[in-house]
Amino acid sequence: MKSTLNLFVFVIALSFFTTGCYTIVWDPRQEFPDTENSTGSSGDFYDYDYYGGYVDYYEAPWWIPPAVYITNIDGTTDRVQTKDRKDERNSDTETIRNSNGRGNTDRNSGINTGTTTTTTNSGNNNNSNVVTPPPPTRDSGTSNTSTTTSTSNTRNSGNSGSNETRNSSSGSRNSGSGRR
Amino acid sequence: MLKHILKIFSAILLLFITSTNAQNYNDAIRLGFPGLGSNARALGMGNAFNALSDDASASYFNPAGFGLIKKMELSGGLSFTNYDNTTTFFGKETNDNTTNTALNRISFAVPLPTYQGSLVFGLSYHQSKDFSSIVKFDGFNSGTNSKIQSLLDTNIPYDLFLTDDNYNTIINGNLDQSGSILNSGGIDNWTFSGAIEVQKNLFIGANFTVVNGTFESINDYYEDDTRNVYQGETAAGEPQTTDFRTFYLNNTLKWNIGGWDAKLGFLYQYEDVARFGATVQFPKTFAIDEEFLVSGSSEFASTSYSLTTDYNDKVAYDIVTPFELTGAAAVNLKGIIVSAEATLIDYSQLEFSNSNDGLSASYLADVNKEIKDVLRSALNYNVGFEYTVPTVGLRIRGGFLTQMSPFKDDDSEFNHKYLTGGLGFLADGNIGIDVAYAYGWWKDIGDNYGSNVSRTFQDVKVHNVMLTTTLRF
Repeated sequence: MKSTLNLFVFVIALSFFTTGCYTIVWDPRQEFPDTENSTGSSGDFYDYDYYGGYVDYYEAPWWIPPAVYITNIDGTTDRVQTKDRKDERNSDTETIRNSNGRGNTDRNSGINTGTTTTTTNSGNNNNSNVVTPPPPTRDSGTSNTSTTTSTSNTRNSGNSGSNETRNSSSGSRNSGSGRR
Repeated sequence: MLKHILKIFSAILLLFITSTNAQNYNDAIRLGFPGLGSNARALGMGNAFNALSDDASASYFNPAGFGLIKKMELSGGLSFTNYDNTTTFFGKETNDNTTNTALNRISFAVPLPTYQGSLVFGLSYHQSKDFSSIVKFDGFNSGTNSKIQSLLDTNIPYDLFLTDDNYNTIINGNLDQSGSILNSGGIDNWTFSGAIEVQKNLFIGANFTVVNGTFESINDYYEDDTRNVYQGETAAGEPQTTDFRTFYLNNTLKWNIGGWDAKLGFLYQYEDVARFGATVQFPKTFAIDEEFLVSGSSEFASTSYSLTTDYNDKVAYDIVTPFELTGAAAVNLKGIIVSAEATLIDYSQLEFSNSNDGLSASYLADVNKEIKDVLRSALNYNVGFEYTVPTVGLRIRGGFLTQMSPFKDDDSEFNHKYLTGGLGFLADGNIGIDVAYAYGWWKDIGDNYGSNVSRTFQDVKVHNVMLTTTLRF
């Protein structure tokens, strides 16, 4: 029996010392493993198309946020690993986020969080912190909108292209526009 | 006075005889023969789970499977067993059954966070074996043999006034023989396991198990003169022994079981197509503290006698089981997993050892020799499948397993065979609920004494239901 125990210990020790280096365990002095610095364990055995919710049950490590599955119109499934949300935006993301459009010049340095005043035909005034640019000048003469908007915010004045884009998601605000 | 001295001498002789005849290969098989484990998912797949082993039941099947666990896991389960035995004894059928419900598993697995690979540890309690079984028999043995006659080399017939002063008896068979053997108990395992991914998709795991358990066998045996064959004095010169009616003997065997064992496992995952597993179960060492209790009585037309001499016996010894080698494969066929494995066990290497309390080394050597003469190597097979309905998280399972008889001369009808099925359901994405049913059937024989002179032919059917709940977080 002693020889059995010795053999057992030998095999375990051999496996750990000769090939155990593949596994890299989290060192508490270093950054916690996440999607960006961890390659995880073995490849997936269970595929979402055939095993559904069992995939996360078996394949998703507890220390990495769960995956999100998006089902396309054609029925195929994309697996999207959500990113770890952090309190601070990193510099790479900030660069990408601000790469399009006109940048902040010396003239527009800083973000104006001044009050916006919206006046409706009924005479109601609404105050909010939402920066609402004026409608494009080109449309001002033909507009039959029932809402007149004025703002003290000058940050985006003259940036008509950006204004159209931003307003596209503002619902009924532009309804009744003569362009339509 | 001489009679009194003779009785004392005989009692000492009986103690020695009962000690030297209490242990045999049946005791070793009881511990060496595999159980059904404690995982409903595995049982539903015919326990063909060695190559899968991706939950905490890896401590039982393949410890390398711990390396596949990526969430913390807490699991527990229950099992229900109904052991039904129809015995044919001298042409007469008798049926009886016994049931047992037990908590069969509590497991906890902890995967450590890794940048690469996998390192997982687990603690588990699981019941590896349920000893519940029963034999009941009743039939008229018209042969010229009996238990009373087989015990003439002990003092029991003399004490019960079934012999004269010279240890001769008029009993010569032609008795109704009946009785029952009720077995209960189980083996519990407390296992610490660990597994690591040593190369990409290659896992090595090991565990160390501390064993404890109990076994109790209550054997009631009767011989009745139902045909009124023995009407004269049973013990010559003792008129109160006229008209023998009944002989009763009770043997109760009690074990307190301790011990330890270890297992080494390997598991390789080939992409999302297949997994291959292999395990080496090192010999298990069981330390047995045995208590053997004997009581009995005899009845005549006008009186009855009970055993007053203390025939109880306490001994301690070890039983060591052989290596068990398992090879397994599981194939993933787009939603259907097909799994199979085979296990080699050389029962002829079962061994009694450590005769330091009540048993002589030479006696154990004789028993070990008998084991080699009677037992053989066995190859056990398990096959199973699992189909997942992904839209509802339902799993459907089926399987078959066979545990080959360890006796050299047994044919396939003595092999333990189980047909299994099961269902699994995933609730809230992190609670797995699995239930399994296993139907087992085999034949067995048992001798009340001698060889094939008072034999029970048993037709065993076992119904086992297992429930396992697993929480992953």
